[in-house]
Amino acid sequence: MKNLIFSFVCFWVLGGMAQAQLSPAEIKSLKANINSATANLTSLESTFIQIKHLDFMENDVKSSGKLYYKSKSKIRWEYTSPFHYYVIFNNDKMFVNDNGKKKETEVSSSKLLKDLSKIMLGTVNGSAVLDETKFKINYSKSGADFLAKMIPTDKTYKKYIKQIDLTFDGKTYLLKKIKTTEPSLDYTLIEFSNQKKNAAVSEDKFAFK
Amino acid sequence: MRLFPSFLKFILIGFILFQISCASYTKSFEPKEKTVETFTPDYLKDFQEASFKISIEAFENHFGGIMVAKKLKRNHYRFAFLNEFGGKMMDFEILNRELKLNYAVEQLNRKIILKMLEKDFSMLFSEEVLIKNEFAQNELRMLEVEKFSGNKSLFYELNQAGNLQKITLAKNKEKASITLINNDKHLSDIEISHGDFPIKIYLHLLNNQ
Repeated sequence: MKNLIFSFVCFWVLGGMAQAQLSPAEIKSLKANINSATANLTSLESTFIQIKHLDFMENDVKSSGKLYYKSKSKIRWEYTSPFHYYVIFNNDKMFVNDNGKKKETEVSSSKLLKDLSKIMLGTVNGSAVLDETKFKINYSKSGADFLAKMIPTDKTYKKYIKQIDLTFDGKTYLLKKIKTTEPSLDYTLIEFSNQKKNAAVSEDKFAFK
Repeated sequence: MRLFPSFLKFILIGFILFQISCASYTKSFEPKEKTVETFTPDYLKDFQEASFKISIEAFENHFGGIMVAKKLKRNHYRFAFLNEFGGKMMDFEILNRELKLNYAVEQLNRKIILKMLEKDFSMLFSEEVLIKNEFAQNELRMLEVEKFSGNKSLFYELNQAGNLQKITLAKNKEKASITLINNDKHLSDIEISHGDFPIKIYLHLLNNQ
């Protein structure tokens, strides 16, 4: 029993240490580092895994794929598992290829697509997602990385999102984890790996085909 | 005065046509002695939970994503539709052929959509259903469940090997049908049609626990 209490205490103490709140000066410095990391980002190639957790299911739904970005507004978000699907945003146009079913749309045609485009580009340009007009953001240090907990203050966002946790790499200041928790507590976790900053990304990746 | 006989003729022709169409669905079936009292499709016998790729073709539009399904207890199943990015579009249960909605994005929270899903998923996820009649059609065995949905009957179509290959909801003519493309013991590939109504749903099994 003593051991159990001790483990609980350790857990809370270590947990507290692991997520130390940042001071206003540290927050300012973190934002500056994120901004400069993305300011000189001309391209990015990365792999990702996506986990969807639904409380009523025993098993999570796992997907994985690749992300390609070219400054300033070209992005290809490609799932390779469990099936092939990709979406490309290229200069105000969106293209979807769902296992061979293709569709091209003007992003300006719908608010939803504009938001989706903003979110997709935000996954590369971390500073754009730290929107303090729509979220209350709490910054902390999590091991070697930085964590931004975003709680929506905007009415529309509140309907769909309870909280977004963004993890920024402590060295590169690139976004490496996004966890979006719904009001039902179901969540989607996306983790990036093999992030290759300013790697040569072929223009072909953004071609609508 | 001539108006009345022509009106009568119109009604009479209509009535004859109605009688012909009424008889049409089971007309070519040969009644047989009933061999089973109840029926449970093989794919539900060990079903716990599964994920599927879902594609919906509606009025020349294509929608896609992932569907998860879990058995809660006999004749009680829970489903969720997710978009490719993990966003939850819909979460509902089917309990004894009735739909209980837990969540739906505004665009999907329509009576016509919910009614259609209630019917489709009841056809697919019903166990120990009472069989009223049995027929033979060529080399197929047909099991009829009377008044499955309103006054419409459900027909399970089994091939010579005893594998279920089609489930049809019909009164005078086919209202909805589910084709098990590989007619195997799992729900590996399914096509759901709605008679003349231009909405088709395809399910492809991704993971079966």
